[in-house]
Amino acid sequence: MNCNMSQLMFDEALHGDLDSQQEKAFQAHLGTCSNCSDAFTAYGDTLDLVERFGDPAPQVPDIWNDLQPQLDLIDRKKRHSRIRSWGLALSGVAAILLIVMGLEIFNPDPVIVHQKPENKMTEVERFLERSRPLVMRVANGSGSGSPDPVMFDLESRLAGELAVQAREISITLKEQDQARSHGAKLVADLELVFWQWGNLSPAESRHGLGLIKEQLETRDVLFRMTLIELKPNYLAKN
Amino acid sequence: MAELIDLVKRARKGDRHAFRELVEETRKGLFHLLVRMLESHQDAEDVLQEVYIKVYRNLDTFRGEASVKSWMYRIGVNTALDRKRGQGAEVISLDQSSFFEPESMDVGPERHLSAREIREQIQQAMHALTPLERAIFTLRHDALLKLREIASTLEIDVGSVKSILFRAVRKLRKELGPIQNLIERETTI
Repeated sequence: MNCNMSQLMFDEALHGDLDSQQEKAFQAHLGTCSNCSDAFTAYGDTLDLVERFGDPAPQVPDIWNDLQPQLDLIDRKKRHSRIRSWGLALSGVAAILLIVMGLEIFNPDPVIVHQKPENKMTEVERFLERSRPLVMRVANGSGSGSPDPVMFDLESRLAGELAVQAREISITLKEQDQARSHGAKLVADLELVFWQWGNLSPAESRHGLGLIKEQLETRDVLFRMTLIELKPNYLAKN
Repeated sequence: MAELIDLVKRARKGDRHAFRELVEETRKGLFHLLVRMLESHQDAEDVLQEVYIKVYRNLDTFRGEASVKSWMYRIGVNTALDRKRGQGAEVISLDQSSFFEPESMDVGPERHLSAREIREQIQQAMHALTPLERAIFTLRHDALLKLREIASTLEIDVGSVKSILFRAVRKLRKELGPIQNLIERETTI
């Protein structure tokens, strides 16, 4: 052991913190080195002096009353921070929901409309589009007065053709297991109405068109057609 | 008395009473360290509050790798060193009478004066130490931490602690040498 090593052991040697092997080596060095031996004695004397005279315990201030308001402030900040985090998280979720809802509103066609039954459902829409002038004509009361025989004939034939188309569409929808959808029900109602209209004779035109108007109103046909225009995926729902 | 680690755990869950207990259990040692390092009662009191605010803010980050005391002393030493750096110069004035406990009653008037003088000399000698030397000296001889604990507190190796401690005591010896000789002479007479 050299002098540097022994000097770094002074503190532990004084406090009895050296293990037996270190203690033995340390004492052996002091026995042969008067400089280290004297320095070790002086080290102990200095610590003894400081301990005896220089270490009066200062009166410790009671800081709790001053500390509390600052701790409250930290707690408040932590709470606000947590609320802000939750707020941001909720805002994020809300934004995602809005985007999803927006996609739903602006791209409302359900899978069923554009996938497998796409053609037939589009056919339903086309059918409703073709049907609308006739339906509007009856609904607006143009059929309540004495109908023009030529026009009546034309409308009757057109209604008969639409009834046939409605029948075909209904069969297809039934095959596709969509007979209970709103679209299928509307087509079925129109089929019935058009069928009756197509079979009206000129003699019973006035009364017959009045009955057809009643049926359209009873079945809310015009409202349902408007609904499908505004929200086409209504077609596919049961 | 509850273990300090339990107090930390409870305080972490928002138990203000536990934190108050933690303050009560540790403020004496911390304040002593800060007075030693800052050489100012007022600065030490200010920094003591700052230390507990830091401790409160960082309760969640204490992982229990060091002891609670070491962790708090580390915050104390670092805050005091920051304060010293901020001041740019060492605090010189020290109103000892404001924070030292009264003298023992069994000490006579002449001896009382002598003890006061010795105390003043020791305080002067402490001025010769750097803040880090004072911190290590105080942690060792007032807080009674092991060298390993001091190393952990200050995040330095044990060899450096031993070396700084030896240097600190050697400086004190140099400053206190004359008064020590005087005491030895009085004792032998």
